[in-house]
Amino acid sequence: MEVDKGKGEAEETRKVAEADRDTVTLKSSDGKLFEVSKEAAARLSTVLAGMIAGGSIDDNGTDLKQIGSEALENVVDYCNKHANSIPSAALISSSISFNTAPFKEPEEWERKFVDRLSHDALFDLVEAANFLGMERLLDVTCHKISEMMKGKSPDQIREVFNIKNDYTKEELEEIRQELAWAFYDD
Amino acid sequence: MNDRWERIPPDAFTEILRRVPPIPRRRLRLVCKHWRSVIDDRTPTTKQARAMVLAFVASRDQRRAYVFDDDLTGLETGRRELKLPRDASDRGVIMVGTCNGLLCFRLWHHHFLVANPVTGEELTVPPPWTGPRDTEYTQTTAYSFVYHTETGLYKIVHVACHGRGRTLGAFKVFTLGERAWREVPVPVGTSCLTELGLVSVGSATYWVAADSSSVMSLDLKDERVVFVATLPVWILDDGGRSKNQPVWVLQCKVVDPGPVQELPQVIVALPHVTHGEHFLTTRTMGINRVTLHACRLSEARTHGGVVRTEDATIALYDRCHTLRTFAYVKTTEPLAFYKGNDCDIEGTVMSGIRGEQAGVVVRVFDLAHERVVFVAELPVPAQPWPWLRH
Repeated sequence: MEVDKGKGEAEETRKVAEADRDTVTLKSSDGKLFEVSKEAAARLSTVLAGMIAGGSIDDNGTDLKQIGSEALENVVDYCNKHANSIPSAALISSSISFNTAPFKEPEEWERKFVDRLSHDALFDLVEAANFLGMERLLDVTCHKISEMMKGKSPDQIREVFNIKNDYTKEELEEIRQELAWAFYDD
Repeated sequence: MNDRWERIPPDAFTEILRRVPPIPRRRLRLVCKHWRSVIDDRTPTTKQARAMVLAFVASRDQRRAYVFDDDLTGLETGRRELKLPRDASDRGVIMVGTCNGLLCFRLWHHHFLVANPVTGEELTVPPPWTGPRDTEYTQTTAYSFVYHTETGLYKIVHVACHGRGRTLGAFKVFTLGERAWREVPVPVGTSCLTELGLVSVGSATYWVAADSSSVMSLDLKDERVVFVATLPVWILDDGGRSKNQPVWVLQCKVVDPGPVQELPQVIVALPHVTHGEHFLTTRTMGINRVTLHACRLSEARTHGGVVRTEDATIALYDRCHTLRTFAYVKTTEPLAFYKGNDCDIEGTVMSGIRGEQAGVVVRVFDLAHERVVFVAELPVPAQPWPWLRH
């Protein structure tokens, strides 16, 4: 009885201590540690929310082997900024279901956040967001990349994203003709 | 680096592509094979809908639009009405053009409105500044709505000409998604018969100069004005040597207006004159009754280019003073992608009045695709045409 009671108390204290700690520590693939608001992490990342709820958060740094330190820094930065910004009505009510929902426009600070990233950092962040199940961050980064395609010719897109054209001239012409007459011919 | 795209999770790549509207997205298939396969396999495809004929009917107090499904035979009054945006059904509205299911109007207060009747989305574009108000009386304007296939952008091209010489200093181009009109300067002496309108094909806009005989074009890609051809001579642009480039042929047609007082006047339907196998014409019957007709294109071609009038009446409109035809497809092409152009340019312009006269029809015929891409109507000249033999 007494032992049981003691265990219960210990659990209680641990819970209190956990609740007291409002940050979690994340460790990048190259061993760097980052602190992030627990509330924001749980709210923004389905994977981190699962880890927090499942108690698999390590106080000495939860290993995220798939994410490099630069990308993780950006993830953490995003979470902390998000925690400080007043969530808009659109965000609160958002239950984005992929493939059907209309896209939520990024907010001003989110735009600025992704605008300052290099191409490589942006793509790494997409990977990290995808890995951590961060729908909103994925939204914002994908939006940015799609904006980079806007109004560019295929040549310019290849240049911007450093993509090699692996079509032959004939193949290109064939696709181009399909495009030009898609809506005009009977 | 290529591997950057290969490393990116397929779901994320799909999300990126889904943010580009369907029609511009198709164009991204040109980037590389990997992109093409992702677009084909993982994003919703745009059905290549068949274009329908859209008749824009102007009466004294309102505007209406009707669409025709595939069948262009038999008379059914009006056919199916297409609900226009409220502002576009007002008097004074001019329909500028259609692209990929988007309709572009010029409203009575000279703003432009781009709308998708399927989704109900609308986008308003203020008119360009075209000079001080006192030039209004000598100024005529023309405009065109363009889908630039190379970049996937929609543009409104606007031109204002001054005086009897119909000279212009610059084209004004508004790209949907941008904030302001942009000026594209043209060589000194460039002129435009605004009543014939502007016609845009691919990345170029065509018009007829004030001499009534030079066809000019402005390439929106490199923004160069080029002389295309002199009317009314047949021109095979590059002798048909190149297989890759469309071959432009310029052709003149004479529309037989018939004895003016007795028979109804036949006018080629503009600007969408050929639809699939059909050639469209309109006739004014009595006061304010206009009929739309379709005749087989093959037939029209075999008669030395003279448009035959024994054709099927496909629609009839009462209380109509102008009927213009367009090509239309039902699409969900979104406009939200292009929002954010709340510019505050001031100024209005007077529109030129279009004289609906039968005369010479100029057709630019794209041999590669066997279709007419440019049509303009020239007023009947005072002198007999020496080149009618063509």
